[in-house]
Amino acid sequence: MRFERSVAHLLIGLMVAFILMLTSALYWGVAGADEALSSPFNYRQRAALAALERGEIVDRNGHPLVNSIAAETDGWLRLTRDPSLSSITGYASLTYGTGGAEAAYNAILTDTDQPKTFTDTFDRDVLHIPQHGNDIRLTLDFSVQQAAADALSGRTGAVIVMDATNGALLAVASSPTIDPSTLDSEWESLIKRTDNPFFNRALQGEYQPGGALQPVLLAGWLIAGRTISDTLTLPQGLDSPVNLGEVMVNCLQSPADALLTPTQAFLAGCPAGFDAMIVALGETTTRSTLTLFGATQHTELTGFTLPAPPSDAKAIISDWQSDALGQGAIRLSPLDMAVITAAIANDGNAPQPFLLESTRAYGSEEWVSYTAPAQTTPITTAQTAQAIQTLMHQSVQSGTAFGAARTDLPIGGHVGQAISGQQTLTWFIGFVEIEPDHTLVTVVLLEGDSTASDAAHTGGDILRAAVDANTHLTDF
Amino acid sequence: MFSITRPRRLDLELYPNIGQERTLLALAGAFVTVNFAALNTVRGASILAWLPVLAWVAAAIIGHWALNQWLPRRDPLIFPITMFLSGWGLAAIDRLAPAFADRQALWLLVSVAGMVFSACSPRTLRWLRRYRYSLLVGGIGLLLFSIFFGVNPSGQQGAPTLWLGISGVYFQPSEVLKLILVAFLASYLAEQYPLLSARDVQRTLGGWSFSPRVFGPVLLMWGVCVMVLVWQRDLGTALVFFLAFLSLLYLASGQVWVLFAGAGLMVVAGILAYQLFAVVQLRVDIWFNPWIEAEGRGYHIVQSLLDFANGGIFGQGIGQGAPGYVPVAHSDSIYAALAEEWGFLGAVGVVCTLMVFTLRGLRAALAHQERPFYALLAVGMTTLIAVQSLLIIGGVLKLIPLTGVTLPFVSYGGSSLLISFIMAGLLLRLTSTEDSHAL
Repeated sequence: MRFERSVAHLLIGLMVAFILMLTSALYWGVAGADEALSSPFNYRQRAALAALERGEIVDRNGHPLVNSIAAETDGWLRLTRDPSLSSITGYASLTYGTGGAEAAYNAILTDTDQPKTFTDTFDRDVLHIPQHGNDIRLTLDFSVQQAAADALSGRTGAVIVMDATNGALLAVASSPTIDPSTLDSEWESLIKRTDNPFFNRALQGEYQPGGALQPVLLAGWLIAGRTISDTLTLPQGLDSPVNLGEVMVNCLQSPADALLTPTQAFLAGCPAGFDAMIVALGETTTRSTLTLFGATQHTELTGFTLPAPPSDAKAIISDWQSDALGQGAIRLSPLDMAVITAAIANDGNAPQPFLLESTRAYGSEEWVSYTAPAQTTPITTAQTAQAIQTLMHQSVQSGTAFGAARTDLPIGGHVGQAISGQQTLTWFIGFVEIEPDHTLVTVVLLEGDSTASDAAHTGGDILRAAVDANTHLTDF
Repeated sequence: MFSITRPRRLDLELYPNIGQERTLLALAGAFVTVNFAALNTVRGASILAWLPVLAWVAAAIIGHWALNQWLPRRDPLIFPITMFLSGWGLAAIDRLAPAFADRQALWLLVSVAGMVFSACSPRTLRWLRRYRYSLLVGGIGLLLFSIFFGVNPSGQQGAPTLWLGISGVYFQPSEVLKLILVAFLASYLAEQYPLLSARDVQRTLGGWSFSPRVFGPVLLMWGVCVMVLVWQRDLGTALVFFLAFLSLLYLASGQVWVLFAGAGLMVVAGILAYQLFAVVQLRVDIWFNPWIEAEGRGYHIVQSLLDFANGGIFGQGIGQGAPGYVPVAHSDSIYAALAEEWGFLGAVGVVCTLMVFTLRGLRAALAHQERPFYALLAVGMTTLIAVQSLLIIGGVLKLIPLTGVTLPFVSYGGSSLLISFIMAGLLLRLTSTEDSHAL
């Protein structure tokens, strides 16, 4: 009897131990599996990723931007065709994950965006048939992107080129940026760099707009029934500096004549003229104008993580005069500024920017449109927008944006500067009409000590490249 | 040699267990064949890749036939279980280390022959009892021999030299010693059983017995384990020895304090070993938190755990996972590899099979309550296999520090497989009711 009891105890002990083992196996195999699999030491995941042929990324003309090439051993390597692309196409590293468009459209590129049929799941999970992602066609134009990246070479800043008619992004460049081909080997030094090459200034940056906000203020002036020829109340003259607390802002250039009009203020980039205008309009009108043009919220771009919109737009505009002059709490990304510029260039209709144009299933020849036809949002009247367009053309002809002038190109533009801490931010916003009702816009942002002329020249070069590229443009 | 020398035709109505065993062997065979078919399909192997399966089928048929002839009244589960696990192991070894598959298949044939011999020869049990001291001295001698002349088949510098080799054939004396020690202790304790179980002895000093009869084997086992641990750095085998011994002593004496004292000794030994031996320190440190050194000292455990995570419920399928990230996946870590390719269900399958084996082994012990040697031998061998399984399974699952022992019947290793099958054969012998007088 005692022996039986002892054997029973032993048996129970052993059975409990075995069940404990199964419980632990259940935890690691099922309950805790996801956490374990996400470990950076899960080399199986890396091997599975390497075995997956990610889809190809091409530009709007079908020019390959990024594709997968067979590795010498098993798996695939990701090849970015040109360094100029990396700030928008990003990277797909087996070790460090994805960034840029590779991250934004990762589900499509890895064919994980749609629910799988039973057969697909069986092929993938049971038969382990090699998987292929789908191709994507971006709205980018390779040559425009190259021009934008070249223009930023060696500088810190960002460039956006957008089709104002529908919001298609033709170029998104940020500098400095990373080189995906050396990302794995240089990761440790890249993440320690103070200039943050992973940061996409064009999409994620938040910058004080400074004088680049002047077209919006001018629109508010015109919407309020005023004209560009009205005489402003400026006892100390148009070129008097404006004291905004810690910052003193001045004209970008001397006014051409002594007239105290919005036109002169705009062409010379004089903040005193705009300060007088917003005082005349009042806080409420100024606020509503800024909100109307989207200056108090960030633009969305599907798939990308952009700056979070402020929870309360009104709260931001605390010192409303500083904000209106672009030296306050309002901060915009170059993409935000591109939408504002496009609204003006597109006769008052703001487009919704997009980057992904169509997708193509693996092995298929047919591209399927991914983005619904872009809807534009009317912001102001065509008359108001055209009045500002005219002034922007004049600015390129004889104003602060003179550097952007290019032979035979009807470029309109404006330059603005903001003083942000110890550095100056220089903006160029511009547009060019390439055919009736078809306009391209660009936004150039340069950090550091660039001049208005630098920014305007850069903008002109980029618009020239965009127009040249457009001669081969496929209509969306 | 065998007591029943005349093979005979069997009446399945008379021996229903044979029919059950045959059915279970057929199921095990189907499992093994399907797995090899899947594996060979995945890797596009030639017809020669089926050799291990042929060896398994031959071992199963010959073993079944021989047992039918000489031990027809036996437990119908033990042999199918051993064949099921070894067949599964063979498939896994062929997938993880194909170069070793043929050798393991050969060892399987030898092991089944060893099992048949130990099961069908009534003298084996008698020898184990009668010559226990000689066997023990021989076993310890072999162990000492391996300490001084041991090699590692891999030839790797710094690797444990636990093997003795002759003409390219290697075996681990500690595996043989497992069986010898269990037999010795079972025999010794069986002799002391009347005294150990006597109530007046149990009441000595308020229930605490300090008889040298009890402490003699305790100290002997302690010494053997320390020897194994110190000289061979074989923490796993030392633990298996000691835990199996504790179980036997507990059963023989019925004293719970034996378990507590044993646990205390283990803790003391563990602390000392941690202080004295780098290998123990390493195992314990990485057991607490392997993730902080996941690419260094914790690599083995981390990759084992990732095997389980990657396997999920249903597994990746044979030949389709990546268990090769785990060191010695075909040997010590084979359970993790099984979990990756057969999933949690595979892990359950192995453990449940081992649970049934344990149940049947202890059942055999209960059938021999009046014969302490046989009862204790059955318990000792069953516990040895169960504890060894638990140690390695618990190790790869991070429940206990990882110890370098094999998973019985499954892992690669000829001497481990042979001794495991011999123990299974002895258990079969102990489950036989046909000629119990011959025991």
